[in-house]
Amino acid sequence: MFDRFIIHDKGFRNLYEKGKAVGFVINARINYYRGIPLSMIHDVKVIVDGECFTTDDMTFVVRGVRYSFKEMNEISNINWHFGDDLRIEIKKPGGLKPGKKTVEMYMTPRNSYFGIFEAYAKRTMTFA
Amino acid sequence: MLTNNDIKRGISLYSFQESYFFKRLDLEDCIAAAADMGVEGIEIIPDQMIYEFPNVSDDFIDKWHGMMERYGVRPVCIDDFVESNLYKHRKVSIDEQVERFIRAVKLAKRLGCFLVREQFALGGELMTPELLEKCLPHAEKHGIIIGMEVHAPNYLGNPEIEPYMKIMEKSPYVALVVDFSIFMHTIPDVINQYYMRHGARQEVIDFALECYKNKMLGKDVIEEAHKKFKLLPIEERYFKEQFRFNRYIEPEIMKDYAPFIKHFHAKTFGVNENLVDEAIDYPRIFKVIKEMGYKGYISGENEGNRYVHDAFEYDDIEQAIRHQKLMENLLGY
Repeated sequence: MFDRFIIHDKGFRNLYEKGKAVGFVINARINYYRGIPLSMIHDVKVIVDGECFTTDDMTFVVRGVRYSFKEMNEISNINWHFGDDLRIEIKKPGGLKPGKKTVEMYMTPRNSYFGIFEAYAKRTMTFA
Repeated sequence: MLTNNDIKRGISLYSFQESYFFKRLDLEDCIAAAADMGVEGIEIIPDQMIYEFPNVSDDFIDKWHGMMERYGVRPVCIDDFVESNLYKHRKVSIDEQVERFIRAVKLAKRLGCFLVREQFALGGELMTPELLEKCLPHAEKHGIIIGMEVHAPNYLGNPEIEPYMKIMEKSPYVALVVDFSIFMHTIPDVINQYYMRHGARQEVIDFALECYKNKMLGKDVIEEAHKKFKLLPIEERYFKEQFRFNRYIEPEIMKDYAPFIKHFHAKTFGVNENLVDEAIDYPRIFKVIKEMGYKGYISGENEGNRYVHDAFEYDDIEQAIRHQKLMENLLGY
């Protein structure tokens, strides 16, 4: 389906707190042909230049509200809308250095129809 | 455009998913595009194109009906999905599934649709006969029909759909939605081309098409293909997917189920420049639908985008135009 487009090239930049880079942001889009409740996001992995980040490092922003992965697992009445960004804030003290990055992502939704279905994409993006 | 025709042309907005995903078209743009194509009935997957789903406000409902009026179209059907895998650590109970179904039925009613599409649970966890029995009173209460979609690899004539037919015989609020995927007489070229771009050999594809035409079973085909060609992994995947998920049965079988068929998904993987679908015999299917005395909508559902993303941009609008034109030619309007 939309597997090739799960990594969005929008807003790929560092996250700051009190003038210090504490992590970075990456936006994802869904691989499925419809939106899903947050609880049906089964797993997410982001790999930047070989460094792997898991859901423990991530905070998710949907419709302007921030959630940990654990919180999302229980939320079945709020949807990540089809085609919309899932903003992922990833903890990394010092952030990333600007420039070209090889970004890989595993986006894994779950439903009754397909079970667990993993999408993988890789692209080169310039980090702002 | 609203008409008094017995058979009405519709479209599932699913057909515009490519444009919606990339934000070339929003919901209203899709409805306007459908109106341009002379479409009368609108079908929607709520969690695909209703941003507020599942918490749909009255304000949205007002806007929806405003759009229906402005563009001269009618709401027909929503596509609902039973979810048992809602949570990571536990299965959803049957009571929770009924609650979610009630939510769908109420939404269908508010949107002005007459039908909620559900999926057969053949060896799976979708709409089981047990769940259907529990949902039915709620559908009846709201005057909404539950449309069980017969989609490949399921088919009309499959003994596994019998428990559902028994429920249909008892209540007019359960019906069949026939998806044209069950009438696929060859593997669509868009799929073959995809596999060939990824290394599948022409002679292997030709062999597969011959086997498909001769209605050979998946297991036998793969064994024979292995002996003949020593299949590459990509070719093995091609055989496994195409012989497992596709289906061909004679369209005339619909006549045996005519009283129960209340909606159609006119599936296509592509309509060529001459307005022909080379994998699904539209003229023959439409002939049968007319002979059945069918009254209702035929909703175009275009799925060709799945196999092109590796190579080129998919023009879902052009495909929808051709697809509707093909149906227009067969209906005469």
